[in-house]
Amino acid sequence: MSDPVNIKELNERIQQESAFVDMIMVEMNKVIVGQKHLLESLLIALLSDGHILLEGVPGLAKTLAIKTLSDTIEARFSRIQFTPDLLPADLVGTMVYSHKSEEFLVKKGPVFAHFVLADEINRSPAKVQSALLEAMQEKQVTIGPNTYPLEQPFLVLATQNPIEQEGTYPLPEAQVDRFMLKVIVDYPRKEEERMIIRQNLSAGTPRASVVMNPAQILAARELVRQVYMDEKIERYILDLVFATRFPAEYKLNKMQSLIAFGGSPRASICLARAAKAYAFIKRRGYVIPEDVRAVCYDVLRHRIGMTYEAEAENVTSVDIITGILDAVEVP
Amino acid sequence: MRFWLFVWSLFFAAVVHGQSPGVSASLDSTRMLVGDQVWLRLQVELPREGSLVWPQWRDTLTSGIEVLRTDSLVRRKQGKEGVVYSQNLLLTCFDSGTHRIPPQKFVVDTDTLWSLPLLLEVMPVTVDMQQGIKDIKPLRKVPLTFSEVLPWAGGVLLLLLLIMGWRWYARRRRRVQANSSGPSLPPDVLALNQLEALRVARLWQKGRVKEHYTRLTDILRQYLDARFDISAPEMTSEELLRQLKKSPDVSADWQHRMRDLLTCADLAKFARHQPEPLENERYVETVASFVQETRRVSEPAVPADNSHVEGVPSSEFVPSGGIAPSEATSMEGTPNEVTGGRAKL
Repeated sequence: MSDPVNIKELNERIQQESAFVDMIMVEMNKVIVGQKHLLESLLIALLSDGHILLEGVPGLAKTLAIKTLSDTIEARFSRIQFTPDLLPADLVGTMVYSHKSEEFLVKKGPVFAHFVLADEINRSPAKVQSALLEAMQEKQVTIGPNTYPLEQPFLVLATQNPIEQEGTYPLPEAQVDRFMLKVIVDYPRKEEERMIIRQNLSAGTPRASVVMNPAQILAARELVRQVYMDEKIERYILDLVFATRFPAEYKLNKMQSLIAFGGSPRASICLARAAKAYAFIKRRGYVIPEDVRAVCYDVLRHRIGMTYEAEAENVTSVDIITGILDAVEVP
Repeated sequence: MRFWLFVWSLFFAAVVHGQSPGVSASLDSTRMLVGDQVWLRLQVELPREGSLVWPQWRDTLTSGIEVLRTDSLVRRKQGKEGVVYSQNLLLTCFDSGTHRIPPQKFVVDTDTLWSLPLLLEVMPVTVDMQQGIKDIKPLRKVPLTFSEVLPWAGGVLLLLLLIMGWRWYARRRRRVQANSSGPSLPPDVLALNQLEALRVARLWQKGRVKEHYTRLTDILRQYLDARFDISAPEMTSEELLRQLKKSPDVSADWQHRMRDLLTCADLAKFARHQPEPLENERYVETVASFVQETRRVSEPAVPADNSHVEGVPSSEFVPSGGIAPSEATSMEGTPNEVTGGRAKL
């Protein structure tokens, strides 16, 4: 039997080379208490070359988690606080006239970093959001007549607040789609919060140590790409995404009137990439249906458009995804 | 002679007068209370049939006097050639005082005749101030008539007919579907038949290991779905194991064996793993044993009707190393091992 991919060998290699995952988690757990799903999602985005949007009420350590992740990697990190008066040039950079050299010089903006934290991304107008989102998609920035490629790895980690919608500019669907994952950050459990209190009251704030460098991340990404995905899993991913578009074909007739639009082909790509990264985190060289289901909510929740009828009935995209997962047969 | 001429002229005059048309108008009462009703009778007597123009009224006879009803014009014969026309009008009045009913105009051939004017005295209602002010009377309820009830009754009847028709149609459709799908086999019999078909297909021996494990897990999932009422086909292996853990009918040993099986199947299906030949056989037997031991007690013994499975011999399926159906039957017969209609493991 011809077998171009030696999964046993790949599995062993991944088992060895994914050790850094545990190291990163240990370092992050020094600073962040609980929020296992959030930390795993950050790693998935890091390993599958995707951007991540975190949504949660203030004070849930969204920004701290992102900052801690960047601390574990020896890479350039920049933070941009999105405000209503922010301009695209504040983000990508601009050309400044130098009296000394009597010419225009390029002054690169904070987007030229490995990790860009876009804090409260929905507080800035659409033109600023577009500037960042173009950089996310093209991985390059044009200032004046020149185009500058962004450094690799390039990861945008954005946060937004679901409350206080006054004076905000909600991201349009087309721009939200560019985020690979949208993670909803929830409150910690009681026991976790007790530890948070103790940690904050004790003298000296814990700090995460550097575990990796950008080159190692790029190597890990290459390994993630090699994770074996069987055609049965591919079909399962397609079934899940197609069920968001044509629910009636999956005996989900009730959802037909609730869904305005389903997941795009980008959703299928992101689901496959995120599932591979999740399998890697779990130290496996192959993807199983559990991996797809584990990332399904974060990949699809911002890619399903809901109708007014759904809003009137308080049906959310999470309900739709749950219904689809319960209806589509697992391979 | 003059005397006889005088007498004859008197007689002739009386005859001539008796043959001329006559008009009369009369009220059945010339006094009434405000809002009461009174009949006006109009009559025209014609000595012989001729043209007659009868006056027409709408809703008012004269100012203050309203016409509530106009009866049809009645014609009757009188004498040899005479004809009498009459009509009754129901009148009412809401203004107190004396009202004059004007003369009514009738045209007979070329002559115009007028009825006499009439007076109608309308009296106000006397109010006894000694008794004090009384409340307004409530609305009087008019009894429902058949014509009012009929549309509603018809609607209800139609609705009942529609419901009955729909129920009849649904029952008929179910019956047709049931007949078309044929009698369904108990889940354990079906699963054992399918396992036998899988064994006969010899998929793993032909190198189609992935297909072998896909069919094996499908059989297991369908059985779990039908037997334990858990939607196993839509669950991952981990979710399935979690569900089995909750079931009181599945022992810890079986949970452990199911975990081994599903892990191996996942590796074969998704990671191109090639299990040992012994493992391939063992897992088929594991599923068969699980089916036999967890099947419902009320179901008949396992004699698998393999006749409908293509390529499957009609002989009873006994997995090597597994529990034979006869043994399973004898196990069910033991009352101590049966709890709540399900086999205790």
